[in-house]
Amino acid sequence: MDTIQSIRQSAEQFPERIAYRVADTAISYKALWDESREYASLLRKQGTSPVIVYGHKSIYMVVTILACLLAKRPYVPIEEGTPLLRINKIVTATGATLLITDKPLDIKNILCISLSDMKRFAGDTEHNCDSDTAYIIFTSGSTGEPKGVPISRSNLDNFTRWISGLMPLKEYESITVFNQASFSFDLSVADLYYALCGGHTLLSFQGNIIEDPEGFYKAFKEADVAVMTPSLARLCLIDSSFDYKNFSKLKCIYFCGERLESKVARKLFEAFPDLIIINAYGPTEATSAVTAVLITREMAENELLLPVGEICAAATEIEIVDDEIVLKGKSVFSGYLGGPKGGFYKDGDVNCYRTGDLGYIKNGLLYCKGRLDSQIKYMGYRIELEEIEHHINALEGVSGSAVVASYDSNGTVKAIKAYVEADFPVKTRDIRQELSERIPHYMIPKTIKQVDSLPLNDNGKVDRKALGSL
Amino acid sequence: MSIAKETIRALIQEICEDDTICDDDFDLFESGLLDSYAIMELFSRFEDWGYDIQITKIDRNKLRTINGIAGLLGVND
Repeated sequence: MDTIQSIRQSAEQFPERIAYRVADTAISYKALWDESREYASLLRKQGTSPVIVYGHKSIYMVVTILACLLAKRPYVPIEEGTPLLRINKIVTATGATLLITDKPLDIKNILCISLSDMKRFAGDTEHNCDSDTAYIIFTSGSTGEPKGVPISRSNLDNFTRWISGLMPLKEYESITVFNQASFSFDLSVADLYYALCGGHTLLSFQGNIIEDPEGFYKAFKEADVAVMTPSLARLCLIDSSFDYKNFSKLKCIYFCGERLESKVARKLFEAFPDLIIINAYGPTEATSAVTAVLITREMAENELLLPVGEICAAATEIEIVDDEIVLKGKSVFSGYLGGPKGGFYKDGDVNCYRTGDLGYIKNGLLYCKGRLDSQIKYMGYRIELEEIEHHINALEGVSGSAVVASYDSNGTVKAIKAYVEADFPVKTRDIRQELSERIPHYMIPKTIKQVDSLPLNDNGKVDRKALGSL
Repeated sequence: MSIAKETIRALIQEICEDDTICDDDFDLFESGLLDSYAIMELFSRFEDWGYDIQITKIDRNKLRTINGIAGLLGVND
């Protein structure tokens, strides 16, 4: 069964069950299916290009995403608040002619409308929409441009079959699945499709734990299964009320998006003795995740580096080539939008991807121990430090910059720092403000320090190690 | 454990990775310095110092400045 068939089955079997709930709004499976079908028909009458879906967690977003899938028009999720310059780049890169949003937004060269306005812009006849691409997610790119990762419908089908069959997720019936990530972050692909294909209720919280911890905990208490980053778990654990007594429904947490530290797993087992922890791994280029493993209390107590997956139950073939994790098979994309090859290559007819992640396999388990390049994960977000440098260097008066990550003793990124050469006195606040118009908030360096000149090594490249002592 | 405001200032400078923060009313949120990671560090240090402070039970605005944090910990000087 493919993804659409699975969601249709959920709608037929459980029409009155809540499919998605956020804040004080909810939509049943029947309503979600019916509305999505209606809008899919209008989408087919409007055009064939990819559709930008702009907004935050809302019923609106979920209906639009499903409508695009049904219409066979690729959806391109963009989180509310993304800088306009970045949205423009995404519009150009995708060739999208339609942006659907329930937010006030006006962008040149693209039709920006709400779903309810679709009728006015749809023609009388349906176009031949038959894209093989399910969605395109943009990630940070080392060239300074966001990088489009198209995921095909068959990639998505392979992923949804894999996650729906994953133990113990497979065994749960009629549960509430907690969604942390925005729909533009591919971690959400896991909770969205696991929930909808399984007939579960997906639950989102619109704010965040820092701004509204009480509201966050109140929503989270209703979850049976949570799909989240280890960073969020670390934040949850700073409140001692985060335990099995107060979160009595919570059975399982599925982690992905960054490294799960043993210390965090240990603390979770202390707070929730019966918790099932799934640690998953996979890049956006291979449809959210390709491997997963149950983390036992023994692993959390004895292993410094936790495994990220069981090779025998992976969604793709996994090989280690010169210490690098290489993925091959049905979940792997067919190359970046616009052609840059990156780690993509073909082996006969099989899509392959060199992840840039350093790893090894031991006793049938996959371990990931770092990166080959300067890509980092910060609070779950994937960031190319060169992209930040590119945007700082483009600022008037800046002659050079180096952006580095600082790490805590567990190897987790704790801050992004920039060192800037400029012919004017650099004010951190001004540069942060200028960057906020170009890159997402999580990419903006925490500290920006002016230097007379960036230290260089013998090869004439920036000596990043020496930057720490400046 | 008795904490001086100077200790709190030093902690903020350390976790925000900015040793130029000297104004006790400087807005740590608006500046972007007290982000999610820094808040985790802050609460972890509260715990080390023996304070049982629950993020769900406090006014978030008290974390906005060094003076606010000092007030939260009952430090006056």
